[in-house]
Amino acid sequence: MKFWVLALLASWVILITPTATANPEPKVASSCAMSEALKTALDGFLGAASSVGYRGTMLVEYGGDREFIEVHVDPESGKNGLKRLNKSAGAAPRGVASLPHGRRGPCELARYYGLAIEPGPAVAGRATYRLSARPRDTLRLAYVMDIDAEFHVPLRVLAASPEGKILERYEFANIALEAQAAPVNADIGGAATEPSKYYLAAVPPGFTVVDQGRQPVDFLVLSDGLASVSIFVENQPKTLPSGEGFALRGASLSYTRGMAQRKLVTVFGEVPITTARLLAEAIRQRDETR
Amino acid sequence: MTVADAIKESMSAVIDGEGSDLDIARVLKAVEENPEARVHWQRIQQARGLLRTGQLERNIDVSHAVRESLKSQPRRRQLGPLGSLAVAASVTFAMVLGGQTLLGQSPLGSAANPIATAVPGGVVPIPGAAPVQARFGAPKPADLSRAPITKAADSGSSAIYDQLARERFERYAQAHARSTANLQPNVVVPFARVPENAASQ
Repeated sequence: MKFWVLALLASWVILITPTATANPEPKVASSCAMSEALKTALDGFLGAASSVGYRGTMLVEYGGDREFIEVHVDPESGKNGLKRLNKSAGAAPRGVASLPHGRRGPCELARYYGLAIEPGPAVAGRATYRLSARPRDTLRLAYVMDIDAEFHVPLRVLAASPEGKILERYEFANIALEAQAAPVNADIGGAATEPSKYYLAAVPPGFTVVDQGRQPVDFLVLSDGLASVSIFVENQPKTLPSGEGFALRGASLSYTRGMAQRKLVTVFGEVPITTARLLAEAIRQRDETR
Repeated sequence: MTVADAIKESMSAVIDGEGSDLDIARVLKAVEENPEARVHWQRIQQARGLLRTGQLERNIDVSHAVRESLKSQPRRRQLGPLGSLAVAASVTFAMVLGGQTLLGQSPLGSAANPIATAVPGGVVPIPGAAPVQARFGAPKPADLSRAPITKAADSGSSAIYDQLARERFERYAQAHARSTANLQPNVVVPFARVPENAASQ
């Protein structure tokens, strides 16, 4: 079906759906009724990222591609790294630096994902529990995670589209874990940067802007607690007509759209194309109205 | 001798079919007298042809033929806006047709294409494209009603935009990983998703 037909359908749904204006946000209290076991598991999972170090080898599969990667994570020092074992012999590990961010709580996740816990299979020789996060709408991906029963680190993660198609899977073949002291005085929220000259006229439910800046180009970063997405805005070449295109690798989507305002918007992240289109459509330049 | 900005603007206007009589005259005069202007003119014609057809075209300059054609027209008839458009369209058409005929197939994504770069890994049609249930819950319905998602993609530009999206994948994957790794289930996997040739950027 042509894109414009789908777009018209989407617009129609947006305009006529009463919940879009009357009651957009589900109540926290009703969504947060969860078992103690689930809450404990979620607290452990959300806290493990900043309090557990590990070193191991994982298999990552993106669609038809797969590779083994050696990883080490050290939250205490912030020195993380990876080495692609299938790319070249004897390659040195590559350090990776990431910006600190505050994690959402269990109740916030439960507003936008149906969460469930059950016993999981052994992964890398370790006992796990299975945490399933199924999106309550079509704006985010689904996750099935087999999480270490002792340290709460995800040992096997499967990301799927809202329709259930598996997009990406990674799994540890072996891993050594150790508890670490959580880093203190972390600069939660990322480095202070000049605010982007762009903003979002509307944000999909559950997503909040967690970072923004102007280098290398104007960008915004959003997250719903599990899914993350970045928006980059460039000037559109004069000779380029309006249009859209996308590329997908595993769970990561790159959606590029040429806007009538001569802006080239790229939405990059682990979200369905529906969400990317909504975000691209909502981007506005400050002091611009339309 | 350099190419003046005014000449470049006139060239862009003509190639976009928006040039005035003065623009056309200015461009023709410049490409005849200034070799650098001629090279610039050929370059933007190639870029325009690439964007329109997805194929890299040979250096064909029809400005001389256009000038002769204009000279042969009766002097009493000045080109109107439609005439300007027709001339620009003729130039573009000649470039596209000539390039396609003489070059053969040079698909987008070949080594000869400067914007063609491939993202390693499986690039497959994405599920989740059906927008039926997609809606904002955020309280700005007025904005949405004024800007519905009805902007149709140019059918001829989707291949170009797919290519741009692949190129942006490589360009922005590292920045996205750095910004969001601590928000994802595993802090290292976002970096593993970055294509190898883009990781060093």
